Amino acid sequence: MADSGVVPMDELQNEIFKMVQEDMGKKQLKAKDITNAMIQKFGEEKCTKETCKEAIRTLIDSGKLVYGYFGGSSSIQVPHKEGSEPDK
Amino acid sequence: MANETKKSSTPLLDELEKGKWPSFVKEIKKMADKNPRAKDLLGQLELSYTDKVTHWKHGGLVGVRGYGGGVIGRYSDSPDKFPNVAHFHTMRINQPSGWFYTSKALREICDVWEQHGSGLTNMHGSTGDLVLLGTSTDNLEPIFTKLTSKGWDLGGSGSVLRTPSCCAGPARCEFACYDTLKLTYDLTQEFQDLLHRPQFPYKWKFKMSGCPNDCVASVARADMSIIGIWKDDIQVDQQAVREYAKNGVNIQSEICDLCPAKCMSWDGNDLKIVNKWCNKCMHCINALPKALRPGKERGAAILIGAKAPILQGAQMSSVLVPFMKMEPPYKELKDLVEKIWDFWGEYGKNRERIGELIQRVGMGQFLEALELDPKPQMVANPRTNPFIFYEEYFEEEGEEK
Ligand code: HEM
Ligand code: HEM
Ligand code: SF4
Ligand code: SF4
Repeated sequence: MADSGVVPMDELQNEIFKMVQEDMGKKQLKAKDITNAMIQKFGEEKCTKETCKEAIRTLIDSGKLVYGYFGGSSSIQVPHKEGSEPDK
Repeated sequence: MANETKKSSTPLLDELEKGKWPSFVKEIKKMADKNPRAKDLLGQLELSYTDKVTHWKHGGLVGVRGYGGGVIGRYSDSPDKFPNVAHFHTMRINQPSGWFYTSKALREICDVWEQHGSGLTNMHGSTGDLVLLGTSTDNLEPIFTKLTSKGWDLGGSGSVLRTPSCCAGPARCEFACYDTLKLTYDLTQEFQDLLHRPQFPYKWKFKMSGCPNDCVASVARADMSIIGIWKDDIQVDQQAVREYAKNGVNIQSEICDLCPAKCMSWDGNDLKIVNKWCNKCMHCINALPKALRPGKERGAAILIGAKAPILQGAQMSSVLVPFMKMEPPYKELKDLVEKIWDFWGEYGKNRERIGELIQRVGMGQFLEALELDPKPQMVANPRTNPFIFYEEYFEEEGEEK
């Protein structure tokens, strides 16, 4: 049943991807922000820190999301061309 | 005039070659003959000295697949003038504990780097990493593949566990009170995931020193400083002390009078130490290494909260656990660290170091969260604020004795 148990991994990944995409350029999201938002969205019984961690790891490993970095601090982003990168 | 020598294209940088000391300009010039990146680096640097502004731009999104740290992006703001440094990313390579290499290992790294980068290195960065200076985005994966196939890995950058680093410890130093190399390696392996995948509010640095001489300056830089220490009495070889005296060391003025705890005395024959007053400053041991040694009951003091930011608010770490045994599998330490990370992850603001968080919420709150009792050794300096309370004192007031 869709209503019992935990959120399916692919659904969780989609939600995370959507969240990162929507906040692009507005917020520098960290793993913790994403995790908190997902737990809030799905509820603690259906979504845990561990499942979020796994979902983020999969998204990063597949290259769908990447880690960004500015001034010593990291965030999770959709891959894009860097503003400071010179045009080829 | 016909025989005038060719005018240098980098007159300002040339100034930095003068004098007897090593010069980074000299080194870059050596590489500039063989490597176009190094050549354009000189050009851009000279321009910066002329213009008195940097021509580097920060770059945010470079790295290797799956890793959130280890590469620090840089781009030139004048790629037309200096196309070979249009990208000039830095790579941090996780150094071996205590910076021990074989020459073969160093050659491997240099070969990869001459092929794929500027050929310029920094041995080592202040983070402890072996630093490779200057490559372009398309070279990152090939470098990573080649280095990892030889057993190397990237170090940390961004909001991660930064590459743990330590002093040479027992490998070279008789003062080491625990095996700094072993602990550094152990923590590096245990927390791999946190090193490569940013999960913290900000950076976290572990630095391991074998004794209070603190050769890696952990007290000034590490969020957690793990500094070797002893609990029992300083070991004294009286005969060796007399030997020093005979050879011209003034034990009274050079040793006893300089002891900050004023806990030493010398009657011309025996050196006496009131060990319970000794604050482990290392002065006497450093001055008389043949005669004095740290005690036999050894471990480490755990200090928390240092940071050395570029702009403002440098802070030293202060004692959290006065003494802890430091032996594998380091369970007590790891349990403590995980508790601190939980607390920091829960309450830390974005870009807030643990030392800043402790200042914000108060040491009392922090200790309560860790379930640690306050101890006199935690007092970093005499209090300036009278409003420090621990709840148990209030509870005790109402209790029947
Ligand atoms: C022989 C006379 C006095 C003695 C032995 C004495 C002793 C003390 C002691 C032991 C404390 C606690 C310090 C601490 O918690 O660190 C204290 C606090 C204080 N005393 Fe006195 N005191 C004396 C006279 C006075 C006088 C005349 C005044 C005011 C005109 C005064 C005002 C205060 C105040 C305001 C505090 C609180 C300080 C703070 O919170 O930092 N005391 N005193
Ligand atoms: C409008 C006037 C005043 C305001 C708004 C004010 C406010 C405060 C505040 C906020 C505190 C800190 C309390 C705490 O953190 O527990 C404090 C403490 C204190 N104030 Fe005032 N205060 C005023 C007038 C005065 C005057 C006129 C005196 C003395 C003649 C005084 C003496 C003290 C002392 C001695 C303390 C420290 C109390 C302790 O150590 O526990 N205050 N005050
Ligand atoms: S910190 Fe102490 S143990 Fe480590 S190298 Fe320095 S003096 Fe030796
Ligand atoms: S270590 Fe420092 S405080 Fe301790 S006895 Fe020697 S000089 Fe004194």
